[in-house]
Amino acid sequence: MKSIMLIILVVTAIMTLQTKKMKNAVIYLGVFSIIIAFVYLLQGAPDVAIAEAVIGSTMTTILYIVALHKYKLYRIYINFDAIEINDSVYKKNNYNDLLKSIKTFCYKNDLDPMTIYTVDKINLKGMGKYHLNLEIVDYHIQLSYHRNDIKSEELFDYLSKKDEFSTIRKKIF
Amino acid sequence: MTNHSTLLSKSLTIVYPFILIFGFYIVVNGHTSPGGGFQGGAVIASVYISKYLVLPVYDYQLEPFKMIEKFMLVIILLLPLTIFLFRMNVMLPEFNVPYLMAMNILIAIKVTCGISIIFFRFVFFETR
Repeated sequence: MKSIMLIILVVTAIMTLQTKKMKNAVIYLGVFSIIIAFVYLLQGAPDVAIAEAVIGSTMTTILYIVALHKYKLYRIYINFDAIEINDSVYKKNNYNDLLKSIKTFCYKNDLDPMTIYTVDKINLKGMGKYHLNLEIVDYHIQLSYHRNDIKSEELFDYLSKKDEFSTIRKKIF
Repeated sequence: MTNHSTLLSKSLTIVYPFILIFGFYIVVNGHTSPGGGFQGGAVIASVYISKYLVLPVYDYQLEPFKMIEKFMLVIILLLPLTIFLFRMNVMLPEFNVPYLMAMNILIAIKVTCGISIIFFRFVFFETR
């Protein structure tokens, strides 16, 4: 019985690692916890088995699912006008440096940045939190973000403290 | 957790009292059978956690929980100290079992409050 359980344990562990979807991995982890609790019981440690069953399979599963629900990408839209896509303007406005600074900020704050280059105008009203729109207005870089977006506010403060981005502007919608 | 399922809420409503009774059983029989304060407290706290699955609404006051938890910590420190300081375990050996039960119950209350606070803080306040 114990060896069968141990084999299933290894199988669920490999399944946890190999799944593509995070939610499936969380469920497999819960199954793993239940099976390892049963193994503890067979080994003669019912105390540990109860604790493992309650904490490992109930609480961590629910906590992981809630955390996955909260997990959001930080989307950065970079707006080009058709004229702007040539090297001189690109260098002059140092988008690359700006993006590097934004990425350092994101890694410090546990955000997952995702840059999207567009030529179309983005509908600003439809964007919620964790969306940032970058564009150039009157030779100044302008950030626009949702009014409740605290992280973007922090990002703006972080950028405007730096010398090379001191002329940066913000627009809140 | 915006769209909650009717199946889950109905079934968990039936299971609630059984989880509670099971938790109390683990706590009270902790000195003779497997289990104890920590495990029973975690089981009782899972009632609160599964209530979140049924109805994800923040209608709790966390301040009393915090107060009770700190108060329990003080009692858990003071009760064994007084008992061993006045050598009650030698003088009154018939009170050893009630002492163990009382300690289990105190630890269970502390663990329940602690895990509930951690969970609700995480679910309702910790955002990016």
